[in-house]
Amino acid sequence: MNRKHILLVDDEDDIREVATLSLETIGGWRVSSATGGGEGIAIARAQRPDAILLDVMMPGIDGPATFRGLQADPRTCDIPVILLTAKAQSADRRGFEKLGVAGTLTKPFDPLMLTEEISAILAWDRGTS
Amino acid sequence: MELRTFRPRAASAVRLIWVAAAGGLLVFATAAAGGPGDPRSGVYECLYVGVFLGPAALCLLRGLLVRDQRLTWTACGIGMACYAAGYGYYFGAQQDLQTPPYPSVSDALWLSYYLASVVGLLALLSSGLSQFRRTGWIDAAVGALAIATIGAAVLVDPILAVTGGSHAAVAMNLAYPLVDVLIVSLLFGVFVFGNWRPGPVWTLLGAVWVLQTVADVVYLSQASAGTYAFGTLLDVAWPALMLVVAVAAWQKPMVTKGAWVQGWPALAVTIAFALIGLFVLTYDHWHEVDTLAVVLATLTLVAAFVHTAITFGDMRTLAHGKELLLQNRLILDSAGEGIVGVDGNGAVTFSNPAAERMTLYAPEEITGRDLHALVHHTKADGSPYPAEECPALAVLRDGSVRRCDHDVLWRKDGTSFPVEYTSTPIVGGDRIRGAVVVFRDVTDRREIERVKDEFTSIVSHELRTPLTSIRGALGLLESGALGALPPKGRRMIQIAVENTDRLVRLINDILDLERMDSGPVHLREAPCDAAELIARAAEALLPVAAGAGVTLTVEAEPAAFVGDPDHLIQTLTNLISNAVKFSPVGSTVEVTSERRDDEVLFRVSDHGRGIPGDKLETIFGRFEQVDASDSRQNGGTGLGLAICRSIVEHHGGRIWAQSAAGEGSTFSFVVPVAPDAAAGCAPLPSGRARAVGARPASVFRVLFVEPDPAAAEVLTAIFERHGVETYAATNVREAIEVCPRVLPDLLVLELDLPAADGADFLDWLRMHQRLSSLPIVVYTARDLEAAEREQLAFGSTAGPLTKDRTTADEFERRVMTLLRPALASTATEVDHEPKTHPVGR
Repeated sequence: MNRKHILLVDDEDDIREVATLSLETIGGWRVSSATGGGEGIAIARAQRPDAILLDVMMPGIDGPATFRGLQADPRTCDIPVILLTAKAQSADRRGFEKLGVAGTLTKPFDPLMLTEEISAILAWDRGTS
Repeated sequence: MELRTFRPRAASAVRLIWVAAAGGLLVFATAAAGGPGDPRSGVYECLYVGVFLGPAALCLLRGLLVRDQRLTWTACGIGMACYAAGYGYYFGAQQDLQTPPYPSVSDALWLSYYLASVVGLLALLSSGLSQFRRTGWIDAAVGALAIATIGAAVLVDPILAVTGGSHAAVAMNLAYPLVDVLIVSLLFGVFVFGNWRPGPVWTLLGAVWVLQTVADVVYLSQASAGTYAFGTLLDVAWPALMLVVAVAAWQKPMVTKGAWVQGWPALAVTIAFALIGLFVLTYDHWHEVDTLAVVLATLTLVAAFVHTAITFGDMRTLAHGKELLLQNRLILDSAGEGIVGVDGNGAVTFSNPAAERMTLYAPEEITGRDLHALVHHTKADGSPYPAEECPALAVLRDGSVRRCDHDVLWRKDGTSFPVEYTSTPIVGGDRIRGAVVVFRDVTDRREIERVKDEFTSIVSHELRTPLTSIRGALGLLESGALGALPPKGRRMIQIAVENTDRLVRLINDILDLERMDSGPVHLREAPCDAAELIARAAEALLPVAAGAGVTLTVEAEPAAFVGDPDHLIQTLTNLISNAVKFSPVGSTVEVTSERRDDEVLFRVSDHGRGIPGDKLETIFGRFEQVDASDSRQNGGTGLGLAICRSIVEHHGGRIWAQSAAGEGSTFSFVVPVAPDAAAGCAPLPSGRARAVGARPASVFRVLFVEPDPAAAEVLTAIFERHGVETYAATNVREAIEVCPRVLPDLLVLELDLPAADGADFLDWLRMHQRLSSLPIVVYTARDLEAAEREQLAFGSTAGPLTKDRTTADEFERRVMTLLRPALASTATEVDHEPKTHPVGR
């Protein structure tokens, strides 16, 4: 039974810390984190995580740009990406879905439900950890 | 005029003069009726001079006592006094002369009356004269000259014969009727050309001067024929007419509105006076005048009059039209919107200055040219804009008004600007003759919207970011995952979590309201079906209702219309969620929809505590709740109903609540079904599709697009185990036919299909709003490239699954994950039989 490995890309230190704690404690997953799009792509290439949790609004390379970067690289293009967004409007969400991401999660998230929501989007069996 | 308003002595003097003037005239008239009197009788002569002094005194007194119109009546009074003096001089110095001089002092005094009258009338009619146009003066001159010419032709020779060839005598004799005609023209001209409405003064003066003309002409004809004898009814005419002038002087001041007699009837009265006067004054002279000459002269005059009247009428209409034209031009020139008219072929017929300012094309550069080709040739994205797609020109084909909120026009310098415009057909008779396009540059508004959107987005992000950390940290603490907390500590964390959630909802609602209030631009309109919207809202809330022990019943009638499905579902969700919150355990919440004439009515009814009558309207305001504690107890933000109202009103509908305290409440809203909504939203086919619209929210459908019958069979078996209705199509054509009818909840798609590719089918789905959010599982034998995978991204796609790399179990698990939330919410609601519907083959 392999432990799922998640890459978390978010420029906010506190959110990274809370989400990491949540994924590790509740889901029992392994979490790598990056503070920006460029670092995220580098880690994704090097570590090939099972999924990437990607913040939308970041300085420099933002979420959608990071996603396109990941898609353009054959080493990372098949890693499912879930966008983490503070935009809750359905129109915004539709826009993100058109990018081709696996799903979107809205901030603020419930730390207790985070792993479950990611599993549902990626059709992971909750038993897999 | 009321004499009571004057001092008693003045009033008495005026009354006395009236009696004297009328009495004197009566005495002279009685004498004249008996035939010509003795012209050398001193009494007779004094009486005759006296009858002129009466009206003169009355007019002078009028001028003296009343300031209004003083000049007019003083001038008339002086003129009449001069006239009387003229007779005095005539009787005293000239009557017995064998060859009276021409012009004599008497002539000068008599003519003074006519000239004084002209001055007085000009003063009286000054307001009307300001509207008297140049052409009017010319027409009046032509009329006067025509009469003078006829008069000269008929009268010059006889006068010359009588006066021994004196041209001065001819001039003097013709001067009277000429001035008469001038005055009559003046009066008639003011009537015809001005928008002036005559009162009694005008009518009396008109009658006086027409009769004066007749009397002067008759005198001239008698004098030239040598038949004139002093002391007949003709001589009564002049003092009598002056007395009528005095009557006019003592009328209330002339009014221009609400007059005693208005318009043409006044003219008819005047003409009737003239004809009667002509008959009375000439009936005993007919045998002495050349009848043929009189008839011809009369016919000429009548013809000239009719012609002039018709011309006047035409000119009046033309002048009115010109004024309207000027007014319309001013309106067009002053309008802030660009206004362009096109003919039936789309060529510009006019444009206003605002259109020039915006497009930089001067009217002469744009007139006659194809409007679309000139300023509307390219879309905002730079692609060509075919004329047949242009809404502004579509009006020319079907005659229905088009409004467009998002479009661009191109300036002469090649730059573009965003516009919103309305194109309205110009219908003349039974055909469309052209269209008027009214457009507005919305650059500034778009910029404000952009800044507002940006602000909303930033606020949204900046508020949520710290909340995410707070909510996450609190959630982890609350879970006990980081270590157990004492009970009081856990309670405190619980309170913090609940309030953080409430704060998040509040921010969401405020942002929602802000978005809605920034205009209907934020609506994404698409064909909707009332039953489908209700089904989707109800599905989402079934677990909440079940948790609250409330039964949700749906009775929805399918009704197609155009609206924003996401926002309408949000409205229904808000209303149903409220109804559930305020329903006692074990009660029912009913959700219904029905199609009315030109609107769809949605209703959500509960059996809760109800709403007091005075709150039925205010609850739709921001932060308004029936009870202030509601938001704390039920977790609401106080903005839900305000958002509902905003959404419904942006759809052009209305929302209201009805309630009886203790018996529950009903929230209703209507959304209009625009006539053209039917075009954008084709009515559903009958029979099967109606059943789809009305189906219970809990029956789920999956459509397989799978060419291999064996694979289709396996798929069917998998889904039947989960109680799902299945449909199968073997190719794209069948899928396109089945999909809109069945409206599946999930689509399983093989890409390698006969005839057309599965990716083409995805493109087709993308173009159909009703189906564009359909979850899809691409289950294909094809090994996909990255680019192909990106191309397939669609709705909540589970991601392509390759058949030989995906086991049946894994396929089943992934597909059921997509359906899981919906199935979970219905498991307790409806016990249904799974059905299989093979399509094709």
